Amino acid sequence: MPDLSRTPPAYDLEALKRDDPAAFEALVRAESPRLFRFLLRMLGEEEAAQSVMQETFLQAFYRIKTFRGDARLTTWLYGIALNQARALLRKNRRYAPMEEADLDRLQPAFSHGMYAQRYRPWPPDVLTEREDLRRLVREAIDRLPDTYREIILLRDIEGFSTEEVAQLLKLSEGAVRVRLHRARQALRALLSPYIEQEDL
Amino acid sequence: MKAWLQRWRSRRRLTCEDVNRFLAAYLDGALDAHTQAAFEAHLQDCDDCQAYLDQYRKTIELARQAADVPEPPPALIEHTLSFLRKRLFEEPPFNA
Ligand SMILES: [Zn+2]
Repeated sequence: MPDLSRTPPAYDLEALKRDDPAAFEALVRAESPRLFRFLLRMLGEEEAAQSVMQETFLQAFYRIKTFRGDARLTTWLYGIALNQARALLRKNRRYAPMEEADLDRLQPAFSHGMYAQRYRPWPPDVLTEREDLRRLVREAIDRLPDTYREIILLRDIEGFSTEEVAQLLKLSEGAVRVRLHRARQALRALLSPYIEQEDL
Repeated sequence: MKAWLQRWRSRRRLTCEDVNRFLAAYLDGALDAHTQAAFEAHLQDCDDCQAYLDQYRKTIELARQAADVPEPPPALIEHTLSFLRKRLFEEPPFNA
């Protein structure tokens, strides 16, 4: 995957902290496209994504002097964006996500340390030839409880490292992996009927 | 050591449930060398764990593929900059 998070742009942090407009403009230009796409995935509407992004940069500008540099600037910026997006989602949610208990039921069952059911590999062409799956995958992601959906978006889709997601969500790396694992397993379970029932 | 005995011993170290619990750490390359060796030894020997790992990896890949969103509108950046200029300063602060 193109892991954008691994090539940090060289921002002039000193200039940003001096409120240098050119430095701030450079930040907006560099981060906008990716941040917008993240917010669009999170919120589902261009208008909402744009307004949250603007608010995010505004907050970043006000708070840049408190940025201590222990996370990457991009990670810090996404932290602000995430809080803004959460607040908006709380106000006008368009769907009812599943409950934690539903998520439990989507985890694999074990008996005496072994899987309680048999598994077969999925056919390789699920990744290339199944346009219909994309919609199902999007719907499945949208059904996850917010904290699980966020972690899939940040780690698996945006490509932030586990360490960065941990900084962003103020969790330990272990806690990030536990949550991520539950989310991925739930997604797997939601998708498997569609993949396995159709003879490929 | 006899091959079957070696298999039995390495497999005994981790159950399928253990292997499952370590999946995210394994894909992150975050397991210690000892656990990783036991993980891989179990995997070698267990069809269910292999198949489950395959589905797990493909789930991640499907999520990534499905999340394609359209390119941002062309005026996005200029709109954002002018919003910020208006909110932050009376005068255009950026090298407009
Ligand atoms: Zn196994």
